[in-house]
Amino acid sequence: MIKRTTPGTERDRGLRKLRSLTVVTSLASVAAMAGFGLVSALSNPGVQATTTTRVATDTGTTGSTTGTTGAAAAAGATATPTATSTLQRPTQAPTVVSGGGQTTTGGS
Amino acid sequence: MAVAGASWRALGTSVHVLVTDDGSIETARTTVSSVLELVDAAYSRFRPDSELRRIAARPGAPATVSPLLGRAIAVALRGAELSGGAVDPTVGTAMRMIGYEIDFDEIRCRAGEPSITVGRVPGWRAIGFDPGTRTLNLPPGVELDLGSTGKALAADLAADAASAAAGTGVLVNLGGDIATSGPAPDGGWRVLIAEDAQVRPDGPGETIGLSSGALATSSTTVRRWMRGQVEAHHIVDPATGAPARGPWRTVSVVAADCVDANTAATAAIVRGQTALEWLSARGLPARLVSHAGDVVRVAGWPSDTRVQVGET
Repeated sequence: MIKRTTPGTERDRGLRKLRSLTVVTSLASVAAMAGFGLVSALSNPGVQATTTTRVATDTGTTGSTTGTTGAAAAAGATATPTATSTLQRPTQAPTVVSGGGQTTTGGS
Repeated sequence: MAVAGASWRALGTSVHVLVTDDGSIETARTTVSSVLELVDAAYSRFRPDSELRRIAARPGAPATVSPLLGRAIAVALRGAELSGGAVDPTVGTAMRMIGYEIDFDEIRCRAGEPSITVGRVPGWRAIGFDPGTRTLNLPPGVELDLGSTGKALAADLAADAASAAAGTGVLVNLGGDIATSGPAPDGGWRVLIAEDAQVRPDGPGETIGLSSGALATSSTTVRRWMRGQVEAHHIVDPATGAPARGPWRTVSVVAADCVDANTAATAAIVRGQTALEWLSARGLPARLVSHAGDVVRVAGWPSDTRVQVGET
């Protein structure tokens, strides 16, 4: 048996489909915004005492020794300031030792 | 394995490198030397061909700086903010006005200079710097001096690079600014606390063990010179543009890295009386020496966690 549809029925069905698609799209947009906000909240430190910069090595130095290569890398690739809101205390407190030192701190 | 060392001069100061494996001292020395050459070329205030000097020659013009200079500027701005402006990289003009415009070895040879004319420095907030693009905007009249945090940054970078290259524990001492990286010797690196970094380390005095982190000392007793009738030193109070006149002549601080140790030590000299509370609130072990020679220890500096006044 063939079910026939009138033009009005076809129009109503199309409108229902369009309405449902609109609702789904709106819900998807809300979900996407929420997800974006969550990612932003997690990745934003909130208080940025300083700017964090990861820099590439372009010092132009072309040393052939291990030392020079490591130096260029240190001056570039590891140059990432820490975005901290205070000066960082040491992980281990200094201790008293007896006898002479190996190096000297002081004014220069 | 035994601790081995090497010493030479660079950046207008003494360099002392120690390693925990005596077979790796040459690799460490070469690496540190290379880092210091890069630093000197990037932000020396005394080399006319340094990147910093070339930028200073075009005041008011935006400039894209190298990664290393950008890092040094970012570190200086952070230090200024975290010290409440006590350590400020815009003291360049003030340093020049008080006579510290050439290498210190040359200053001592000069005589008959005019008297000092100073004023409040422009302030670090005058610096425009975008770390993403490394674009620097220096208003006309603002001269940078990255000497304080810059030397400490050099020590941090050199220690990390040398430790990575040599595969051993390394200590780098740049004129009293000490950074460590990698494992320390048993009992820690042994550091003599003095007012002059040129004092022999095996001499008498207070010695501490440093197992990690860094130690820096700022002092008004070493780099001193006469400008007219006024005796000057190299630690400028940004509020006045003149050499700091607080109660402390020497301050040593231990922190997680040398930049923070140096920032705190220099800030303490500038802050004066409020330095004790300021250091204690941040938990930074420190040793302060007054002009009269009294020693005060705070925040876990070894031998006593209480404030002691009157020790000489």
